[in-house]
Amino acid sequence: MHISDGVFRDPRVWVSACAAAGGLAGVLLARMDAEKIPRVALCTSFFFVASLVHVPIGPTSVHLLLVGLVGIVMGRLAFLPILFGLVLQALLLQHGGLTTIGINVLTMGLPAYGAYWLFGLERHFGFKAAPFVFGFLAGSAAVMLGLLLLKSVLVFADEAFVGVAWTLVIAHLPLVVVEGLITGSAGMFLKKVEPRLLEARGA
Amino acid sequence: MHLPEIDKYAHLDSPLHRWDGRVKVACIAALLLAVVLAPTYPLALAGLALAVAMVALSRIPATFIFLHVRWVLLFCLFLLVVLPLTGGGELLWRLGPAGVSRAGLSKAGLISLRALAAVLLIFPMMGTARFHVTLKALRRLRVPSVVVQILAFSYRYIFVLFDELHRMLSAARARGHGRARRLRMFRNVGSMLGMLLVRSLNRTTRVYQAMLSRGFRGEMKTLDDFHLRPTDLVKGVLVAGAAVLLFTAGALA
Amino acid sequence: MSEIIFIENLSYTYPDGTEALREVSLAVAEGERIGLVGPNGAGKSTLLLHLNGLLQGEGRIEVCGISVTDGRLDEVRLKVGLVFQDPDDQLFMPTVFDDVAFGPLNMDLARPEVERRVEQALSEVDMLYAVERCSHHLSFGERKRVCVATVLSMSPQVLALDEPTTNLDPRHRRQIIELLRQFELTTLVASHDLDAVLDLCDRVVLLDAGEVVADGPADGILTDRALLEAHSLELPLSRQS
Ligand SMILES: Nc1ncnc2c1ncn2[C@@H]1O[C@H](COP(=O)(O)OP(=O)(O)O)[C@@H](O)[C@H]1O
Ligand SMILES: [Mg+2]
Repeated sequence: MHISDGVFRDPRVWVSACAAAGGLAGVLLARMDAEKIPRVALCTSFFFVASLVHVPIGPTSVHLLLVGLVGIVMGRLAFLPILFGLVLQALLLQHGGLTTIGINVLTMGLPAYGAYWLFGLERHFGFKAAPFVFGFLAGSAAVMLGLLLLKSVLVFADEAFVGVAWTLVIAHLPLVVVEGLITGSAGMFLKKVEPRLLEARGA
Repeated sequence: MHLPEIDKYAHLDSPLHRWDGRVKVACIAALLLAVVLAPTYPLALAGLALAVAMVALSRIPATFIFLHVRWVLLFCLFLLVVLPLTGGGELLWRLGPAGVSRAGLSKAGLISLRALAAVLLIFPMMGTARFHVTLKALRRLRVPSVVVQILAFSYRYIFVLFDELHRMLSAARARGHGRARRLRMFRNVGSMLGMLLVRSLNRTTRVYQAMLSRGFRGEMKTLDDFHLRPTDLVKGVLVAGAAVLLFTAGALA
Repeated sequence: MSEIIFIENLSYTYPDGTEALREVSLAVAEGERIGLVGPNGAGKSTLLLHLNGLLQGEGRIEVCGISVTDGRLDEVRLKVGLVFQDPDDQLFMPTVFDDVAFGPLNMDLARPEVERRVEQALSEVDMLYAVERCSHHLSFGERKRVCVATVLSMSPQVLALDEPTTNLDPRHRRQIIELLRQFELTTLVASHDLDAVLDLCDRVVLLDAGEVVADGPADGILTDRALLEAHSLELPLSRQS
């Protein structure tokens, strides 16, 4: 799901994405207390380290994304760790690109808000496995939503990318399930061990 | 799993290592932009040649570079296979119901050249000084202080969390979960990451307390050692000049 | 005898309802080395956080004659150097230099003075050789010593350390004890390593369930088997014979 530099013929695509992402990040940072700096930073490290974990799927392996999980615990600020995580991935691991940061963070960061909202519904359901079920939904919906956004961006940027976009979506379908399972289990764990973290997230 | 070590070769000596971090980051970033914007094959090739030359100048070993660009190579390979098969238009060869489209192949090739050139430029930019020095250079280039702070802290804690995760994974393997059924494995990985997340977020309170107790009042201050010498500017003019040339040639093409 | 720390009837309850401190009173004279002992969860760390106003409970607390309240926290934090239990909490900057310079830079000192203090603090803990290193490349024992330097560089009047010897191998444990013995600062050591406390401190305060249950000479308290066992502690190894 990480688009490399140099993919787009028309620079307006990535320039406007970078501007939009920068604007959103600017607003979030300007309204953030200094007290939240370590929280955003540690969550960025978490996002980065989790993406180093590879899980085997059939003959290949995929690395985790966990934007849904970041959304669940960070709420309103979820965009920031994903942005900084992608910057560090591009600079330290050469994963993704620099000019495509805007596109990558919009396609992965916006779905994190969807995951936050979805997992929030869990409160209204009392059954024991609710955190798993809603964690699953949040985790897989975040990836699915990200894929659909990416598909739209690619096709919007260049008609010739239709085939590429669909191939990307299909290739990532197993990840949709894996992220769901992992986010569900993590959600279950959080709810059981530290429900406080889930309550504090919006603030 | 392995750690990010982009600055593993920061201790070497080369014209790029000796270059003032502020000028270096700004000029190479400009070149990277020009490369990404290259609209034709000759210009993209020129960009790639410049990138390769700068990597060679930096003395960073080729094996290290190859290991680090594998994501981008994989991405290019993917485009080189899929774009020609789905590109449509005039076909070079027929392969049963599909065919290799000329436009698709040419587009995938151009993208790959630009992507490769751009990723190669990251090495002279980020790999020739320690990462924290580069962060200070970014601060001096007017990147907002809170952004640099977050990047610096995240970088520091990547190593801490990496060790924690590594310990958890080895412990899990020792308990024999390694060969358990797939679903169970995902559940374990999920709880483990949940645990890592809980620990990290609980750590944030203590880190902030440690900052406050040493007099933090919202603005982080650091010292740096940047001195501009004439050679820094000469290098800057050369690289920025190449960027401008590439860009202008692209705009005229 | 002038009192450098004065605490009277300090109580603190965490937001989740845990009563961590109850009516704690304690007076520390200048130059004293005090061991704060007690089982896990006794409230030792919570008490140390109060010395810097990082937590604020009910009761009175003064450091160097300054009352620890909102208006004067900046001053108080200059007086008390707090060393946290986990060095990875305290070393949040990318390099050792940046971490040790963090305090002095927040004091708005000029660059040469900052550099002088960093050098001095690091040489006091024998870590000057690591000044340019990244914290994550240091061993646990080395990181622990750098943590001490990060507060020494602010020239505090009081050094407060939380579990300075836990997770250290015997050699590094010895090293840090020797190091702390050299300092002439007023020192508070919260620890359940009673041997270390016996080595370091003249006076011991025994805390359990948030209350001070004993306060007196180290020799008296740390040899009282019945008292220690009543509070889930064991005699120091050197006194078990
Ligand atoms: N952040 C916190 N929130 C709620 N309770 C806490 C928190 N930190 C510590 N406690 C509780 O306060 C009590 C005292 O803890 P602490 O001061 O850490 O003890 P000690 O350092 O002596 O082991 C314990 O019961 C502990 O569980
Ligand atoms: Mg403690």
